[in-house]
Amino acid sequence: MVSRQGRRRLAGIVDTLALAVVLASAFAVAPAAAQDRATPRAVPVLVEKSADGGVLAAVPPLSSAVIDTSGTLSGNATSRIEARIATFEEGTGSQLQVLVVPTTGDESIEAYANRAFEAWKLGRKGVDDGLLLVVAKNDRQARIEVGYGLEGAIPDITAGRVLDEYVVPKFRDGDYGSGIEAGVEQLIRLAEGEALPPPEHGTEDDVSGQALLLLVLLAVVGGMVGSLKGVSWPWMLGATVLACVLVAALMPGMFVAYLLSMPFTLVFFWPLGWFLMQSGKARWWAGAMLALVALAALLVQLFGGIKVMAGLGIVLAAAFLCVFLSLPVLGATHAWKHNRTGFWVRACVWIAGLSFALYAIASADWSIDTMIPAGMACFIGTIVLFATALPGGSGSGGRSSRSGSRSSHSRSSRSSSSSSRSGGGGRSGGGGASRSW
Amino acid sequence: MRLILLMVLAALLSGCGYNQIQQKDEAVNAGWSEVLSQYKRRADLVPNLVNTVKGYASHEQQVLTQVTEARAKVGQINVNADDVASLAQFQQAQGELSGALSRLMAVVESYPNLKADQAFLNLQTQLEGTENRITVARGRYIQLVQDYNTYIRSFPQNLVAMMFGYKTRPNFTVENEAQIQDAPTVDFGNSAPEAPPQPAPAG
Repeated sequence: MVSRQGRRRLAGIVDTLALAVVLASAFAVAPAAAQDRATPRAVPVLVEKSADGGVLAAVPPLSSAVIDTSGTLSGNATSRIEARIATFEEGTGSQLQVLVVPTTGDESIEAYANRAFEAWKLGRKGVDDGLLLVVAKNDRQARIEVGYGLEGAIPDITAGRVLDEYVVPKFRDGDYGSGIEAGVEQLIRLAEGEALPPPEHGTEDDVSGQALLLLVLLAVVGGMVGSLKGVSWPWMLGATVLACVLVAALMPGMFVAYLLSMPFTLVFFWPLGWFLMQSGKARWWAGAMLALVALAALLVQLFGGIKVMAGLGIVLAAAFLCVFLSLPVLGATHAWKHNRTGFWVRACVWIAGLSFALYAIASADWSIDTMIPAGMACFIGTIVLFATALPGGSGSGGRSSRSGSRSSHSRSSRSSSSSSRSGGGGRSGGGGASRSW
Repeated sequence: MRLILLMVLAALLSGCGYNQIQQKDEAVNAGWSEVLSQYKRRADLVPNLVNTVKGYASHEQQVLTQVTEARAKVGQINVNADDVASLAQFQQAQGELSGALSRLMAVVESYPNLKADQAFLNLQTQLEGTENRITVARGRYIQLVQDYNTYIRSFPQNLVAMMFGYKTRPNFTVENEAQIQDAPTVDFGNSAPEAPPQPAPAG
């Protein structure tokens, strides 16, 4: 028979152990999340001087499929080539990039092309189906750099032949635009011959997701209307089934799949709609949710799915931050009022922890690899430190820090790219061919 | 009291870095396999190259023999990437093959028929591509080993490394490479070109 005192002590020990496990997992997870990128430090994109003082050409940022820093290509030629590349990329999912620079400086065109490929990460991650055509106009050198995944379709000899037969002859005549166009066309033909995994068609996914959502909504609304007095619910059920079949018919090729999913959505969501109408509060909540969903659908149609998701993501992240940071704030005020010494102890520990984290970041040259785990450690440490001052023990603190680590983990591993063109994470091993004219 | 215990526990657990050591070690191993496979790819190209050149320049016995011998030597070496001496020996042998190949290419310059031969051009493209791949693989390996060595030697990971017996790994050096890969000046006037100094095989 354990006494009340003993039980409280036991609960305290269990709480402490739980917190320790949570902290340990947070610290173990954070470096792993940061290490999701390639282990060696990423090659800097813009560099002017190499280690031995030579002048290196800068790798321009990846803004479009054809980058011309030497002003050789006309606007017409550029847009033609970009359009051709765009059709190719949408059809296969690979990435083809054209780069025209005046010179590659002191380094060879092979080293420059490899550096650019590494910086941009052309091609899909894992598939590595990237292609890079670099022309150094004043150096009179051209190179095709081939990603790992395309080395079967475009081995070195073939890349050399593309340059020899299609690109360099036109360059010798001074016609850079048609030379690059011909080279790009050949590379596309070769790459399309390769059996690569099919691309992810974003538009199809969006539409199918919206159709599914529509089915669910139809079921819920059908249930809600069917529960109203004066409405015969078997007729309502029939009308809902008919509406769902119509929606499924709108999806070509997926008709049978949607038909098969209909029983499930109806069984789950029609009664949900029904029961939502039973209580007044549930009715208000259901109405508000439906309005929100309608608003979100409207926004997606107006602004495009990605921007709305990004906006929603930011709003949710900010909300999470406020909720989780309110805990230590409450704890701190509570400690200030009731346990002054405890407050000061915690404040000292917090300041020491923060300065240690800042020192660690600064000594690692402010790299993102140390900032993420250090930042997460500070965040979790702050919550835990002051949440334990709240009455009711650290049970709530443990819960909040656990979900805090989960949300910040997902935040850190999500990558954000605001430019319209970005590399897919592919790599190249230095394969391809170079030619001079 | 509870808090102090927590802080100590957190510091210990975050400082061990055992998992990171494993990750970096495996990355170095993967980088080494890549380097070895690219070197092997080059060695596999050499017999075809020698045969093609023999078809046009059968009198260049010395250079062709040097290339064949250098390739045979490279094929015999069993390299252990963790042993400094073994790695140095491997690097030297590969450097000798590179030197022999560049001498061969210098000799080929005086045979215009050979230079125009499609088979030779293909082999030359493949060789250039392979040399580039070797350079890229070596560059990546050097970076990986640097990353691993730096991590193992920093505090507090060095304690864990010492506990579990993780040592720093040897890396490619650059100095003896430059010495071996010197392409000698080819003097077409002399009948017997001066033999380049043969480096004594290590150990």
